[in-house]
Amino acid sequence: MATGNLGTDCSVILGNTGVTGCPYDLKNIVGIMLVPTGTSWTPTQVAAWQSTVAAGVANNTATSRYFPIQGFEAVEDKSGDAVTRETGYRVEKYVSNGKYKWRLFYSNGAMDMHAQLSLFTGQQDRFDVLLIDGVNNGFLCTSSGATNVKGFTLDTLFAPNIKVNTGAEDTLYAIEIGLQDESEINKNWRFIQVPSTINVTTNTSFLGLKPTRIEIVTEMVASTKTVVCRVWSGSTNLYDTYTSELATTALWNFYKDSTGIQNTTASVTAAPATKAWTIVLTSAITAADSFTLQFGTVSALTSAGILRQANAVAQTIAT
Amino acid sequence: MEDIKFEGTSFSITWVSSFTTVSEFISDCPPHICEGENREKKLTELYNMVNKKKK
Repeated sequence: MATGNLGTDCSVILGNTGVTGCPYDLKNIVGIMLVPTGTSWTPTQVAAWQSTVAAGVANNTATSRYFPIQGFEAVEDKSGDAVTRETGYRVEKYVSNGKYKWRLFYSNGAMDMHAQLSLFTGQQDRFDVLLIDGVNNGFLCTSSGATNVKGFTLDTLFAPNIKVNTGAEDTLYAIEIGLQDESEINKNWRFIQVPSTINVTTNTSFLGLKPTRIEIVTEMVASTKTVVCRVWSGSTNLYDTYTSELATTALWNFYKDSTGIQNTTASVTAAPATKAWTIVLTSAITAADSFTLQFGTVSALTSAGILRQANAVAQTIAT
Repeated sequence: MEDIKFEGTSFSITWVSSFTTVSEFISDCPPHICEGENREKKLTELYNMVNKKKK
């Protein structure tokens, strides 16, 4: 709010320099969490942080979802130095601070994770980021207004090319993040400490959903109203893990593209020989009808006993 | 939507019970469902089971 002062109000720009009793000391960044830009949390939501994050991670709408990325094993600090200039009289003048940027290395998930994280490349405007401090067991974020907290604003988000296995070194996988406004961390950092009984790096509430991909094995057959699909998570066929759970009609939702109307699922049959699923729809189908299969939602998957698995979309055209 | 599991297939109870007669249900079932001997008997058993459950 404007104060009516003509000039800078010097009373508010200085800090105090006594050492506090229990200062927060940032340790290893073992993970990050991407959240939709502008997401902020109230003190009540922070107090129930585990539930808040679990609900955000399992959000049925992917654009509203939180994406924790865990298991970093090393960091390369690519932050820029402060910009200065030297005057004619050789006085070094400070112009601006450098920007924070880190390349974070992981091996968990390997090529499967790399493929997923590559989808986030260039999406810095869609996400804010929180840093997960594994030693202090919490999330580093920034203030939002007087009472709330939010993630740091990103200006870089990309998954660099992998460094291939050399025989002496394993393949290296990484994701790189850069913060837009260093003051969000320098002046306005906030730390959400999670109770020590809940490990932020291993508790499933703080882990991302596993990716899901639907493979259309046999396109929709109009005469029998059947389609054959497989369900993959990375390079794993989920048939063996979730044979019973995937045989749930509520998980397989087909919508006719020309009308948007759902053709409900009548039955789901496991095909052990091919580790696939034969799904039958209820209403009549005409050849060349195009359908979008919405596999999920996340909450429907959870209800069926398939935990921490993302929803997925595929398309099939009737023959 | 509730399912009933029968002979390796999950059936939507809403779907099975939407048929007025068992013969309609059997004729609408794709051939891969309960294929083999006693198909009609099995599908009749399922149809009756579902409709009994609905009552």
